[in-house]
Amino acid sequence: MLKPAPLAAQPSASLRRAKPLLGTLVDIRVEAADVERAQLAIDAAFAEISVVHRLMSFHERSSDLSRLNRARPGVLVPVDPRTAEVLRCAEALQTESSGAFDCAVAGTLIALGLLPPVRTAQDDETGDPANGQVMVERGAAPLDLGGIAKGYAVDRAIEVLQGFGVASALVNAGGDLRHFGREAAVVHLRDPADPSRLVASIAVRYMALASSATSGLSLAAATPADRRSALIDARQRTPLPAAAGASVLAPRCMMADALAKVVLVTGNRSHPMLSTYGAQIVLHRSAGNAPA
Amino acid sequence: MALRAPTSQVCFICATAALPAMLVSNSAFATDYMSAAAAQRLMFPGASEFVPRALALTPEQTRLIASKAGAPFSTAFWKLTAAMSGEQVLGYVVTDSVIGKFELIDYAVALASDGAIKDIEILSYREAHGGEVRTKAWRNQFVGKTVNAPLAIGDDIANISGATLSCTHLTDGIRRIATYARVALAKS
Repeated sequence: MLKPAPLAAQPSASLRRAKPLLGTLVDIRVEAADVERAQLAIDAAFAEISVVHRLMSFHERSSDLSRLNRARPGVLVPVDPRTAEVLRCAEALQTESSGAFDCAVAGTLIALGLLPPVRTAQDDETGDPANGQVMVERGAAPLDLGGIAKGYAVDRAIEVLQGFGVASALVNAGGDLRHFGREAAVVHLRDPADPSRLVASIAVRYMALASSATSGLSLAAATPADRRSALIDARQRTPLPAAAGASVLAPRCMMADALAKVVLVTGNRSHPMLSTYGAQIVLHRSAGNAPA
Repeated sequence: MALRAPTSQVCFICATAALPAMLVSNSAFATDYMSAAAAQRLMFPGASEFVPRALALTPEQTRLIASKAGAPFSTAFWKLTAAMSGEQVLGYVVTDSVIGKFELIDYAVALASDGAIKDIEILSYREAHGGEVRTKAWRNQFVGKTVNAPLAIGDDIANISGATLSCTHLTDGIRRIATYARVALAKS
């Protein structure tokens, strides 16, 4: 039960900033007792997102992920505990989803020209990620954490903001977002078939919301030949058809992010993982013209 | 739940936490984050004043930046300001606008006095649809808009989820400014 906040702690400052991070625009809004606290909290939250970006970027050569993707099989690679946490989570999600969620689809994305090639390609991490060391097995495909790292970064930013004692906050990384605070945030959902249209709005309070859509906003006006989805059906190693999308509410953004992909790939609106992670679908448009 | 869905294949599951879903018909979305002046103060809190500077690019430097940045470019939107502490240059702020298929983004890049990127802030984000984005009229509707005079249509659509904006144009713009800083600012 939440106690009413004392009058002195009533938020009197609202602040909103955005930075280009995680391959999109990250927008953070907080309400705090004063502007200074709000500014410090937002600075710290952006700094944390920058760290997650640097650790888990596929494109930056010095990231934990790139070092793993280049590593020789059998060599222990030290990684940040945050990278280890995401890898551990990715492994569990892959098992629970019977491969519908799979971070080893980078090979398919490289083959399609959607990701640059890795100089020496291996993967399938083993070892003990909890110890911050990961070992690459022979014959494995390169990893891409794009499916959950953005959600994870949002979760980390929210934790940082909570640590600053701000009254409410919303962190939105290009549509993967999480909220805490007394007043709900109204979030508008894009139509997966026409991302330029907003088709619904929902209130999000103390929850995360993530969407996955096969029509990227930047691709919507491109020629049909260019409309290749960067979302891969891991089971068949093929891009998902365009115009599909799913939005999922969950307590943690990393799980909402992953589960939106599971729903999109499987087309299963009552996938057991949804209840496992306290999640619910708020929008689903099935792939192609096939019924879900 | 009464809902006008655009196709029969879209399924809305209205959660208990959700407001009644509604159709939103806006075709332009806008968010103003901060003014250029506020960004300058935020990025150089120790500066005593901010002095506008001419870009002063020689044709040779322009060619060099274009070749390093991988494409011809325009500095039409660029504004250069020096962050001063007395006589000392603490660094620079370049503001710019990039136009994508749907979006117009105003942003500010803080540069250290050696030309290294120090910080980036988004000043405003605009999104419009319907094929009109690249036309002059579409651009003109933003001219003169400030934090105090936001757009009337779809004003301040706070939060959107769905297909993710890939900010390629923004990344390209930042790369051009970084190159400019190395070529033209680092020596001064």
